[in-house]
Amino acid sequence: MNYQLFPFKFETLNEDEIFLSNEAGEFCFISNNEFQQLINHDLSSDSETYLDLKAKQIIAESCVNDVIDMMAVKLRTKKSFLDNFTALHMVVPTLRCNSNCVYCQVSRKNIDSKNFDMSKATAKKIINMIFKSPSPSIKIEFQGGEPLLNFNMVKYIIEQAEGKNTFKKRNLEFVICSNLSLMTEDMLKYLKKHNVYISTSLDGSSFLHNKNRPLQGGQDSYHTLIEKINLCRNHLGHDHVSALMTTSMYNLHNLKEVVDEYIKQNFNAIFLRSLNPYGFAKENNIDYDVDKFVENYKETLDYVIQVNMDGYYIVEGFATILLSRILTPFATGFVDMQFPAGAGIGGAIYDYNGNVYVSDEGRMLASMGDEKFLMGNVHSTSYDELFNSNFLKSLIRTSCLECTAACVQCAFSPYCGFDPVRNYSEQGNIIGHIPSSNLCRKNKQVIKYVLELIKKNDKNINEVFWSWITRKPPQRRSL
Amino acid sequence: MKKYYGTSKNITSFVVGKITNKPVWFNRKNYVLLTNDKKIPKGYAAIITNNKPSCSAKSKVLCNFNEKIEKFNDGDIILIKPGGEASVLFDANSKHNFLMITSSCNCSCIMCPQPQIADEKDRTNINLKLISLIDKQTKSLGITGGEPTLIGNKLLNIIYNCKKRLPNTALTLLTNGIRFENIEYAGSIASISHKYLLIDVPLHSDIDTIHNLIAGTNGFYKTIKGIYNLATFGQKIGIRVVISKINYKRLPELAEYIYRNFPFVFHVVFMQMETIGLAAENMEKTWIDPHDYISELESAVIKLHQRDIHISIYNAQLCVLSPKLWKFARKSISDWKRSYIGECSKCSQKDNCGGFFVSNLDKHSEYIKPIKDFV
Amino acid sequence: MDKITKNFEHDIAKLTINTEIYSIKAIINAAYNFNKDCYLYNEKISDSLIETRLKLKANSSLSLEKLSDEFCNELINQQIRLNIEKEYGHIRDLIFKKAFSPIDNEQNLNS
Repeated sequence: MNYQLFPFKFETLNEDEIFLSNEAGEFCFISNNEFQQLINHDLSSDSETYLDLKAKQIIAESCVNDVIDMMAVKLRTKKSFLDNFTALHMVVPTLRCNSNCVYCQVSRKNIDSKNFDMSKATAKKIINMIFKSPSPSIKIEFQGGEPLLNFNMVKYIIEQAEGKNTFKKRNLEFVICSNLSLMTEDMLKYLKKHNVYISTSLDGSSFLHNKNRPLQGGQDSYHTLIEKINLCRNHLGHDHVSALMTTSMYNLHNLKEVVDEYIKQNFNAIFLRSLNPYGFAKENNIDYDVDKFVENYKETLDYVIQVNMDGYYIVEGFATILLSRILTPFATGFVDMQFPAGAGIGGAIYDYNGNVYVSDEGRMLASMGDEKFLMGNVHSTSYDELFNSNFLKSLIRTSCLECTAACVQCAFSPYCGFDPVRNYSEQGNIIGHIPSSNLCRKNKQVIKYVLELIKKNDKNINEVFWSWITRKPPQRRSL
Repeated sequence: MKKYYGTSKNITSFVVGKITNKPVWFNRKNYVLLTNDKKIPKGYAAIITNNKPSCSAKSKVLCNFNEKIEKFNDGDIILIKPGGEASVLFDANSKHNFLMITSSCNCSCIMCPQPQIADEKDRTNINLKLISLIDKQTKSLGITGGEPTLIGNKLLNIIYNCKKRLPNTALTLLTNGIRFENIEYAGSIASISHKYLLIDVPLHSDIDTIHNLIAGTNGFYKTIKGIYNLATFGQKIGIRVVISKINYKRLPELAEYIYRNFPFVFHVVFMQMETIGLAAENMEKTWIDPHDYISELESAVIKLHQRDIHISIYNAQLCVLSPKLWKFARKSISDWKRSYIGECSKCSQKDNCGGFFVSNLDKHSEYIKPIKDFV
Repeated sequence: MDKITKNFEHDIAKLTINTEIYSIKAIINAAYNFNKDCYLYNEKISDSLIETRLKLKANSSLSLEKLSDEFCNELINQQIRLNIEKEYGHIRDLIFKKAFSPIDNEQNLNS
């Protein structure tokens, strides 16, 4: 048959099925036979598969240049998360913390150690640096330690940023990541005035949450959190408070209960995060085999889907990122998993002392003594030296799909990403050996599972998936 | 459009005027007076009368008019040609008015309801006059043909005039998009900066060969390039799909194709085909009973609806449409073109249903039957 | 005729691969994916034959036979990838070039 093959990648899914994908994220499931016919130019132009492959720009007949033009537009769209450079800026107003989370990756400091607080001079320099980013949207996310332990600095940074923004006129957003134990009404009045969003961690029911995230000083972490969540919602509105969770050995086998807890607390979104095997997590022996995580994740995902089908709207965050990448033509900026990596170019973190790292994981490594991912310091390094450095450029270069040995061939690469910091942490170098990487193993299995669910073409599951992707529960869609 | 005939007197070139059945005192030259008085007043663009022609009048008169003048709506705008033909260019009582740009086309769609007429390549002068007379409160106006872009830059002038004279009237330009393959032309339409311009483009299939078969020309990739060029300039674009025997099977795949390749579209319209014009000649190849594609259409619409794309279904009867899709069906057929059949009188949904084209009454679905009340 | 002959000795599988069928590039690409489970050695035996030796690592969960079967399958996949790359490689380059170069006729529009 006279047709031109367009770039695609393939992967054997099971005995008789091959998965094809292209850079625009278009995909197809075909049988072994059809695959052989396809690559031998024997695929009949009458078959539905032939037509489908044509529509997905995997084969083309005479109008090759026109199809190239279309693919170029779609590729550019898929990579458009790169257009605006660094949009996510994490700021650490203090390393002091009143929590004792078992998986803390930060080496938090004692609540009295004020020398781990950010100074005003540093804050000013950080704000200047942030606004040097060309991105039309700037999200400033307060991390820590526990940001509320240095609320004055949080206020200072918000005000400095807003002041700067009167000239810069960006779309400015603030998020504060906090355990909420120290939240007061006065703080909430302030946060409401400045339209700040809250992100907190809820790891499960009382027993599970307290196991993962005890507070220092013995106070009941779970009950305090629930009380404060409601307080925040009363002041800021339901939509301004979100939660995520981290999976440790303690809640790995109880993820469904965690979901139940989120429903109980009226959350409409959950992110089933696996553990970052850094920092205290390694020391405390709470990590687990990646296959076990995948097994539990799959069951829990099924459960969340069923909960939606039964009428309660709750979005699973990780699956939604994958679904958006698989089923829509759009880009999704998720700095932890993208090609090229989001390190520095998508997000950066500014520590209490002005040190700038490519990611939170990079900061953690530094706190354990390895400054590999330190970009510089706002007091001594210019914007150009930070964000246009040879260090960052070479880091990004090696994380481009086209430069990776195994990923470049992988049919799931349009939905996946590269994490040089994780490679370094797991395997000792930023390139790593992906075929033996745990992160690859996890991502691949989860992606395969999501594809399996899509392949079922079950209209109820599809309805749920699209309600997640569009962020609109079924009844709220436009006519 | 509605056409009438009469004997013309003193009409040497086209006349466009707004109908009035009462005398007006200002701007008479913009009005066409309907009167059966023997006395012919002066100053009007033309007079229409049922009377026989008389020799004395020097005014432009259309006599022996074949329709009782009492039937006319004040505010309609009429075109009178030297030969005695009068057509209603603008129906004051209708929500579906349009500017007919040209009857020429650079496609010959196998199910096209509009036959190409040899004359009327360029009606710009008529249309400019028409635009100057249309009521400024008019909510919407279509721009159609044939293929409007064939008049080139004159189309830009027409749209510009609409912007100036009818700034709050929403325009829908129906075009196959082929001329917009030229990026400068696409840019020119954008630079008019009309606030309420929607450009609707027909796409018949996700497969180039099938689309081209239906369109009668190798236009698939040109149309797509046209759409992309318009999108580059931020224009509001819609996609229309006329359903026929040739393309109904891949409707769900077309829905997917539209979402993947044109996710920026403002809306997608699925249309039941008409059965006049070229469609009548090609019924064998094109006609399919709408009942026979109920599930493909449902699948396509649900797909796009889930993806949060705005959808409409035009020209469809509710009894041959899946009930899930009733909320997308619009009453798209103008009052004077719309009809129902015997079975419809007992139907509980008649008021919500768009009915049939009067011209389609001899060929419609065989499954038309009244919908019982679900109470 | 079998293009790959297999030979098992203790914990080493010896695969004799005909390089007229499977290119050296394909062999190396396939080998890269198995670093986790085994040590690999490649030796040219003749103009058209390469011997690939797979030595099972202690921590591998696979048997030597399964490993060499998987390796052979992967080899086929790699060879297919190389073959189809020859067909569409230039198209991919054109797509990237078009996607990331500025609009060529921007000059014309502004003039």
